Amino acid sequence: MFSLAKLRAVRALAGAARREATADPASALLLMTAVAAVHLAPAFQFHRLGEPGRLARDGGLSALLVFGGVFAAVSAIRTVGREIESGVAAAALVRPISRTMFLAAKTLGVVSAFARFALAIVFAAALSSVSCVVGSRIEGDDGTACVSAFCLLFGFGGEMLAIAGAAFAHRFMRRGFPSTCFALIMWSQPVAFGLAMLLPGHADAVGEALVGPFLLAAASVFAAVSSFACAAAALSTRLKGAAAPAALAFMAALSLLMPALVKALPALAALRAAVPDFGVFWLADAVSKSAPAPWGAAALPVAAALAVSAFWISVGAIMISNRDVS
Amino acid sequence: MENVISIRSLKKTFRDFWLRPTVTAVDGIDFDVAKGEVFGLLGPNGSGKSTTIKLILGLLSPSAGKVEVFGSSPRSLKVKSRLGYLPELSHLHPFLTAREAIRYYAGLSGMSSADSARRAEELIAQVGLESAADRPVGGYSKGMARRVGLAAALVAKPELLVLDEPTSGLDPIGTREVKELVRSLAKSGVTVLMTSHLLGDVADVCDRILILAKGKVAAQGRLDDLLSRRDATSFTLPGVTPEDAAAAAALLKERFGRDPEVSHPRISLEQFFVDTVKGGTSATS
Repeated sequence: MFSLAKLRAVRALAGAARREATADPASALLLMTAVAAVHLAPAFQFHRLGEPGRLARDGGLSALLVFGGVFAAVSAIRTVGREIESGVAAAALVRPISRTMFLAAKTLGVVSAFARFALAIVFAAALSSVSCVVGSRIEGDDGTACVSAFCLLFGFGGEMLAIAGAAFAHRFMRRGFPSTCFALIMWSQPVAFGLAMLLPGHADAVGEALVGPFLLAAASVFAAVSSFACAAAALSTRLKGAAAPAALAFMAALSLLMPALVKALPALAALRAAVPDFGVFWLADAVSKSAPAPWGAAALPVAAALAVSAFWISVGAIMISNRDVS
Repeated sequence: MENVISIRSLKKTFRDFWLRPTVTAVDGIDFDVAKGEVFGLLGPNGSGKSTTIKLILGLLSPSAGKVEVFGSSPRSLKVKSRLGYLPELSHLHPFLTAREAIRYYAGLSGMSSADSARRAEELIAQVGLESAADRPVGGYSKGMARRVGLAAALVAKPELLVLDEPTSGLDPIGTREVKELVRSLAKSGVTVLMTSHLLGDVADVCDRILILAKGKVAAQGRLDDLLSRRDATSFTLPGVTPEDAAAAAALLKERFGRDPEVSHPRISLEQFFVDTVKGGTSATS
């Protein structure tokens, strides 16, 4: 059933989908904006909104959800729907791969690209949170907000350096600007975080800055957005033009309303099989309150994301199997 | 002889979102393509050529009738592993270089990284893209993209090669190379199904042709049978002076009672162009 040749085909398709997702100028712009917002938001806060670093962590999770959600959905629609319409998919579908494999591999490639997007945001949020904690130690807890200038320099400056590096590579090495920019920004954030940890007092702040649930919450948002990417890929096998983004926007609204809807009408809980329920996924509240969140709390969102993803990949496989590809 | 493609009463009607029929592109056609044959599919725009090719490749589902490739459904993975396809427009990922694009298609065919790399180098040399192999294909001219598409079609050493307008966008030398490649593939036992608007190209390489008009078969058969004029005979004799030609014409007229047509045989413009460009000779008239 699973041969080496099929795995090679899946790897080739997923790799091309990942590169396609990161080669789009809109992808680089989304990542650029998200990372800049995560670094700059705490620098412009004038009042503490809770414990040090709360704005940075919640901002990071929001950026992952909103910018990451747009990135994953647009990439999935482009790599599946537009390729079917343009004829690029036909050139792949005449090879020895099934249509289900095509859809699953493309979705895997998009999720892999989103993982890179998430990596940059998580490190940016972590650095920004450390920056807030270090800043609060400098100024004391008197209600004014302050950040570590070095963290801001490494994080935001690193992003600017990445953009300049991409422009240099485009000018002198003929590299594609959007994909190089995306890759350099992605790597700039872990490097900036690592450099910041070498500064006195910064490594000590990590425990306070990255309170337990932050990474769990990030994993949870990642799982939710990945299941949206699966839905986007499945819907774009049939829906043309603006219909797929419109259907996804409706689904996103339903996801946000799901906790209230289920509370009002418990029978609607059955919709959780198809629509991610942010009542299940969203752990930001636990993060903001620094409440202890057991690792078991991650199991539910991941299981929910896997169920929703499996549902949509199955629906997509049925929809693509009998459609004409020109 | 073993048939590689077998089509019976094939019909394809396209429908809109509400499943209302919009157009019948192929309307009950029958034909077979034998192993090792070069088969040409001709017809004006909108005659159903591309639809027929996509039905053979399993990209479209027939509304009625049957398509068999290597005796099975064209959607079978075993059948697809024996196919190569060059689409009418070379749809390539613009961010990949030619080398990466060929390796990508090799990967889709299940080849290992080492085999993909080796095959990519062979094909880059075969289609003449050595100097541009590391440039993104998004910046290629139509002819260069066509060469990458051809390499991608050949990457898995197919037994059946489907070429949709293979010489479109190529210069005369590239056209000549593609035709020579088709002939050499056919000699090695590869079956080729091709469409082209350039009838000269089809005449040069095809053993049999089928002409489609409004989705139906208008004519099909061997080129020699379809194109030979049985009511006339021509002679070609080298080294004949104008006086000798006039004397021969007089003899023929005396024998048959009709004026024969006497002319010098012409080479094709393509042959003249290739000889001029490759040989570096200058010719003026």
